Amino acid sequence: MKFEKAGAGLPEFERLFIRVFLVPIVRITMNWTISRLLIKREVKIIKKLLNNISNKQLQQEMSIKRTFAIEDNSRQFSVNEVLEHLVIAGSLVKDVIETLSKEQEVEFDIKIENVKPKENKANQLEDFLEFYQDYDDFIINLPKKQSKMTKAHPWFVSFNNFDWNNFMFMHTFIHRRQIEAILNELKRFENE
Amino acid sequence: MSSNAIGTIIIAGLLLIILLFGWFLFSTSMSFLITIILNLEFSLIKALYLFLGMITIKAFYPKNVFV
Repeated sequence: MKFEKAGAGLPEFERLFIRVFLVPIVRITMNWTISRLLIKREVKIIKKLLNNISNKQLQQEMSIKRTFAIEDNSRQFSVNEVLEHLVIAGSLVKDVIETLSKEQEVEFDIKIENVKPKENKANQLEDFLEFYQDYDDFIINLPKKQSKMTKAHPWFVSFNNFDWNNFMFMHTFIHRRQIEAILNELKRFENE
Repeated sequence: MSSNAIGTIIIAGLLLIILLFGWFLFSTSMSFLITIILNLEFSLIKALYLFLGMITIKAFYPKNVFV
């Protein structure tokens, strides 16, 4: 099966729906604490989902139907690759929040193709859980001020530090749904 | 659109509705508390205006409301 190249983006309608409707409403309904608790909830759900899944299954790449807000290129990931992507992208978001919180300019470019998984290694879940614990500690200790400085997401609008933390929740949620789709596909594949 | 994608939109929508309702309860409770303290008559319409005002401010000037 052929997939689009990394960084090709979302279908225009989906991108506009997120940009015009979802981003503003998330900004209205969230605060630092709500986002933090929702991120922790997503991590718990992912941990529970992967409870009885073998290492072989976690590394098995599956082709799934495109899930919401996932670009075509990411439809071929294994569960571990999704987790790896969450760690890579999450580390970048953490750096961006840290820089914006100091009211400094983010000098590096954010490119979707740079946050794609590379290793598909065996113990990715441990790295994932460790990263999200670090991120939680970071947010707990962050002064809860909204920065004036912003950094644009390549697909959407300019986000300040608060928006990037909200994005971190939405991003984790979207990929948790992708993991569910991969697990369903794995089940279907094994029953055939 | 896959059933997973539809499910994701429904879950996200429900979550945002629950959060909006939570903010409504919060602003209405505040409004109720103020009417008790100042011995005024509670009005649900006024509470609704307060809620709409709060989310409008939160949309355009988010740093001013419950960061």
